[in-house]
Amino acid sequence: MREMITGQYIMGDSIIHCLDPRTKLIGCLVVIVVAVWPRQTITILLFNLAFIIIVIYFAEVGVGRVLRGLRSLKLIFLLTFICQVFLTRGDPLWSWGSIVITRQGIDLGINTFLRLLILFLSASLLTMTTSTLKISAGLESLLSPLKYLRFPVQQFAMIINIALRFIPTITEEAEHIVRAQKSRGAQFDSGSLSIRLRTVMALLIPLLAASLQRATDLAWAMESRCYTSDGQIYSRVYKLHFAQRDLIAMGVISIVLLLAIL
Amino acid sequence: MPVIETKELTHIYLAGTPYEKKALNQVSLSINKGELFGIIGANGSGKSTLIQHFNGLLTPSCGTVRVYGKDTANRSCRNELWKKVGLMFQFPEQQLFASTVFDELAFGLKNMGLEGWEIENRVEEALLQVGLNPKEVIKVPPLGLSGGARRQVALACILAMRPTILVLDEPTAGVDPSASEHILKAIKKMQREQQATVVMVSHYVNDLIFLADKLAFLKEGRLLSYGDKKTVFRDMAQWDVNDLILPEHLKLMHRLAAYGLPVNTEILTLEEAAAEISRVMEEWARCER
Ligand SMILES: Nc1ncnc2c1ncn2[C@@H]1O[C@H](COP(=O)(O)OP(=O)(O)OP(=O)(O)O)[C@@H](O)[C@H]1O
Ligand SMILES: [Mg+2]
Repeated sequence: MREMITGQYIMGDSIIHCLDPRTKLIGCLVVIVVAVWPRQTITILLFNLAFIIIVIYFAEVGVGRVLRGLRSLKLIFLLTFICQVFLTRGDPLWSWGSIVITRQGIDLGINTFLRLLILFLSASLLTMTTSTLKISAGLESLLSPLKYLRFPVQQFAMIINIALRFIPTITEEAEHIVRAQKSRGAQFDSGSLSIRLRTVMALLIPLLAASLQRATDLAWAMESRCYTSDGQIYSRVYKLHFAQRDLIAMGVISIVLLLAIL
Repeated sequence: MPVIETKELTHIYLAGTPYEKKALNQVSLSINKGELFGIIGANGSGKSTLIQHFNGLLTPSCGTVRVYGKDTANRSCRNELWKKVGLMFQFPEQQLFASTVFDELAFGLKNMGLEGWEIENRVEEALLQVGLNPKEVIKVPPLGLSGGARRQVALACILAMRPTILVLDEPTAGVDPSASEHILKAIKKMQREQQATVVMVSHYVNDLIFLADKLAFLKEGRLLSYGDKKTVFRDMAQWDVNDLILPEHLKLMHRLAAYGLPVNTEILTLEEAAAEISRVMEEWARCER
């Protein structure tokens, strides 16, 4: 890997790292729900954003590194903003021919922009400070009431765990294949559509083949260690425990939630 | 004249992140035209990282790499390098993708802008070079071949492009002796008949001991010894090389030297080792008398 993947786990021992994954999952959920709640005002969104930035500060992962992840998303941000600004009807502020910019448009544009930003930041903060093992343990524990509805909670958590676990591996593999095909003259960035298609196939086919191979290998390895999917209870390396700091964190989250609602 | 020259080449992966890793540390070496240059080192010593600088896939974090006298930091030079420097990755059979062996070999050739007859001729020639029968394999999907044959196809893909520098990352790792022999033969032939420069990475020292003209020994990103084969083997006695597969007779000589016997460790073959041991023993016998 040349660079880190956005949202990749960064080892650390900050307060945020040490929190119970359940606390962080709930906190993340709260922030996201507040952000996507319909007709949210810009003030509340800004308040929410400020909260996240404070948490980023406490997580000691480096604000710059979190923001760097935004670079790849700048087009989406820009496009949604522009669409909202130009396509919303209301009191015209400024017009040029048939193009009209309205106050509501600008409002909505900023609003959407903030919402996307909050979604992105809270999710990447969660994955940057929580290892995949802990995320899946936390999910499993939070979803465990669903067991009574015969929802396969444990398998679900295992699937999430495996999926998260293999993101860096597959990215690395993709980069490796790209370099290998480049040394055979593959042009990934230029050329006509047909050349482009051929080069993309040269990446996708080996990548897919390797992933399938890896999936079968993993399945065999799990089965040969007697993993079954019939709802047996497996022990975990990480015992989750809800400490005092989690209570405090929950308190903080509730206050933020209350402030946001009022 | 050196065709590849590195000066204080340092490569750092993931610089500026908590996962920062210095894979190469101040490596300076030069590789001459027509040489077969072997690179040995344990897992993670930076061999693959080093050779990816030779065709511009990686660029130095510090220091320079010159290929045919041109700095690879220059983007336009770097983008043309793949035509001259054929690089075969570790486990190249994992990168095969086409639906037939022919298409697989033609991929690189089409990227070079070749067409029609030229492609067919080169495909056939390259397959013969690596010891495969073109008539048998040309229409077969590469994934249907055995592991060894797939490796041969991967080598053919590179040979078909007729590079003047051939860079190979562990070309014989994990294939059976017969495929491995075909591969080594093709490499040697390429060097001898087309005056190609060959750089070959291996941690099977046995492969390189007779084949290579010069050797470089890497450990933890540092170039500990480089130059003539015998000197490199002699130098290796000073370092802990348990993680390398040395031939038994070299291991024995290094052991004897470590015990303090006055043996000369500048040795390649089994016969030389035997002669050296008997020389030392005779001397001993003479002293006792
Ligand atoms: N893409 C990468 N991102 C981060 N670190 C890497 C990357 N590639 C290699 N490294 C690290 O750099 C070091 C040298 O790796 P390299 O692959 O060059 O070693 P090698 O000598 O080829 O080993 P092997 O015999 O296993 O192939 C290793 O410690 C490895 O973990
Ligand atoms: Mg390697």
